[in-house]
Amino acid sequence: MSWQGKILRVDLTSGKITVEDLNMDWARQYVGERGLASKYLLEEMDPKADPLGADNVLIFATGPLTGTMASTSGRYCVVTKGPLTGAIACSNSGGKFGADLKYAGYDMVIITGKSDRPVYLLIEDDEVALMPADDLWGSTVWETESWLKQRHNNQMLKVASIGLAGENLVRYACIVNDLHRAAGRSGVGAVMGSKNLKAIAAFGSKGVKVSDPARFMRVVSDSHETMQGHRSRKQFTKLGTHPMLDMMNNFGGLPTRNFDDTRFDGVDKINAKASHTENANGHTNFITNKACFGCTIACGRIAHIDEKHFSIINRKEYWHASGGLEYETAYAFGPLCGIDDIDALTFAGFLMNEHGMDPISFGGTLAAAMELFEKGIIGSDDTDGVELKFGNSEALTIMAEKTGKHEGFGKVLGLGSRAMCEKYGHGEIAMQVKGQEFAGYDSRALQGMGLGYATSNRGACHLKHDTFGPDMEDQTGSGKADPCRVSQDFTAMLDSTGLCLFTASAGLKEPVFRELLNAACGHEWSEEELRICGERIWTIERMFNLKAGFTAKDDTLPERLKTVPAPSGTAKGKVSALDEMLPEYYQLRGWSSDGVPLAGTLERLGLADLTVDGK
Amino acid sequence: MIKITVKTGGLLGEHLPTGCDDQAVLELQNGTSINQVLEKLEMPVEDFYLIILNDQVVPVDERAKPLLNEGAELGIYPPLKGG
Amino acid sequence: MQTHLVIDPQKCTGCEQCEMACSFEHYGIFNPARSRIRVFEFEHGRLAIPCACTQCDEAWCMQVCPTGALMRNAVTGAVELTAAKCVGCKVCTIACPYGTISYNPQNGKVDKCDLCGGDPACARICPTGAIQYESANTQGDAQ
Repeated sequence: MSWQGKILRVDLTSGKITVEDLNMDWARQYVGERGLASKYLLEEMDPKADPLGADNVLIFATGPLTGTMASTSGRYCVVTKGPLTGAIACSNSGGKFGADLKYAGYDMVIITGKSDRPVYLLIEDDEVALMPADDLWGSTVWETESWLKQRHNNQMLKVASIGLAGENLVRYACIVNDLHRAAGRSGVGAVMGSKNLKAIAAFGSKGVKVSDPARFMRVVSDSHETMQGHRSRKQFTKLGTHPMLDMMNNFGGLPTRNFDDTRFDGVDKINAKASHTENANGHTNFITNKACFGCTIACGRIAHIDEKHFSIINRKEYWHASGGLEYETAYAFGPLCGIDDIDALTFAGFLMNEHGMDPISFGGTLAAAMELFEKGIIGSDDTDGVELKFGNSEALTIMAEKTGKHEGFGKVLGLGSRAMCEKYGHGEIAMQVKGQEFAGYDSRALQGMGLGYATSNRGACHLKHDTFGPDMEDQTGSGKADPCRVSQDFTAMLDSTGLCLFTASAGLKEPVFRELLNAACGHEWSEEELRICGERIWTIERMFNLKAGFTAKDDTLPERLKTVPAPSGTAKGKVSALDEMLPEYYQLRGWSSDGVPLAGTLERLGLADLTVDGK
Repeated sequence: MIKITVKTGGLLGEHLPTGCDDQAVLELQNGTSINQVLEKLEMPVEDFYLIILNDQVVPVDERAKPLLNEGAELGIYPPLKGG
Repeated sequence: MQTHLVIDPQKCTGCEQCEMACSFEHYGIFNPARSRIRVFEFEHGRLAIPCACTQCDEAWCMQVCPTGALMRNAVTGAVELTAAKCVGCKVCTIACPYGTISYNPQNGKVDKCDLCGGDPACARICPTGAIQYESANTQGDAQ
């Protein structure tokens, strides 16, 4: 079977490392990765615990298909209580680290407690040790990864680490692996920082076996072929997610200048075409595409910055290639901050990876700060003399660096938009749900997306549901609740397999995932059973949040999206119909009007022992 | 005859007359439907495109109607998601 | 006809499907650590280079093997390991200037590319055509 059947447990307080058997009943009920890690988290910690305290539990989890030949099998996720939100965090990453963690023989690493000095965790198959990291503390992600490979004389070592942002508890610090892939959202990197854990370095040589190799390889071969011929796959390969910019702009769903507009007139300067076109200096931003482990799509962008650009003209250390712009980064630094300078966007993207920060939340927080500045609520004496105006590309690069290094006004930006705006008495300017900033889709133009944002268990997020189809067919609140619910459950299941969500965008459908799982795991899930797994996962995440103190009041959107009509585009004049969609959504879920799963619903999912108040 | 501007994104740009771009001006007969434009550009006629005509989303069942007028702006986008 | 792997790093995305295909073909397991082809990456992923045995005409690995465990397959041109004759002395791993033979501590023998007997799994699976299996005669400038 393709679960390794082992969990590595590391207590940072005592330094004790143990290996235990995976609970196989839970594996069949929660599949792996996101689902299984959420189950362990709920069992092992008090949801009311301080996310940055020793009682928070940090789980790195792979799925049963991680490390197999199923396309995109490099995924792992980090599940913990998120410091940006106070809600359950599940941040998913690609690259190569996840596969090596699995090859070392573990489905999961569960980290508890807090070390009294900086350490890193070294995993080489059965040899696992906590090593002193005093000399690594204060180094960037890129330095840490390079030094660990050198120190252990193993270029095959895969590293997931935090940069200065995580060390300094920036609330949206991420965990970066393989230089530019990240468990990006909700501040999981700050949890590592709070525990004094600088990095996990893993190398595995045990491999992964599947239960029925012939059956598994048949479906691998068929699914590779399906994806190879699929138009969206070809587009991801050639252009990544970057073309969303043009589409969202024309649609009028592109959040611009902190949601002041839904269209941005500078899109032509930062879109996929701009990235692929030579500029006046003869420089082209895009270099090549890049795959995560096992991925036959390769949507990743490798890019470089024009050496003559102001941001790096005297900084030769950035004259190299690294991870380039994808849609969300381009949106969060570009339209959202009103900036149309592709080199500044790319440089800020490099800084996010180097220092370990989530570009969506950083961009959202900077945009909120720009609005505070333009409205005169803060001034240049607050912002270290920087004119924090929409469109100022220098402000973007300066503040990205200050936040990464935790200097000056960067310390304020590191709080996230909600805490920052509340600090200045203007919470309404923060565009967020449960403290987490929005992805690049305006809830007034994409109604189902708004419902997804409001009900996502980790705060505003575009990756936990998929209502793009219904949202583009019809821009009212009707008929959105059910597709939102169904896709949330499906996504929860897919996130638990070890594969990337983009497989579903590139032609693969439910029967393929089910066949891959069944052939790999030696357990036969029916379509209904697997659907229930997804719903069960969604529901325990919800229960974690309810136990943590969240209520239906938190399933909401900022007033601006509910009351100020979209100024342009196909949704001109519309506001979010959340208040109409939400009651229908609760009802379809089998939840009370207060958003609490009813006893019958919990029983149907095999969760009868869960209550909001008790264990 | 009428002139319209077609805007597109992603790989669909390869279907525009210039070979690969994000917009083009087309000259069409009066009364041309959106489906006929898709056909003319050799884009497969499928349900899942996002079609935007003059800032309005055009549902699938409207696409065979003669909606195009002089100066129209027609956005044709492939199914995209994610980020 | 002599054949070998022709590798074009410009097409490689670094996905490592080839490594999993190789270990699966030979050991029935997905395990890059046991793959005979390895992908190396440079400059933050700007370049990914799959490295595999080039099946040298003058194969030093074969020449130094004290037990005659390495022999050339006359049909494919691959230098192949006869596992029963390999005593795990590792001399071939020292002789190979490219480091494409490695010792396998799990079975006490060496792992060496055998072109899968004429239908290499890595070339079959490669999604971008970066690894192709071709006649050596048509590719004088094999990379």
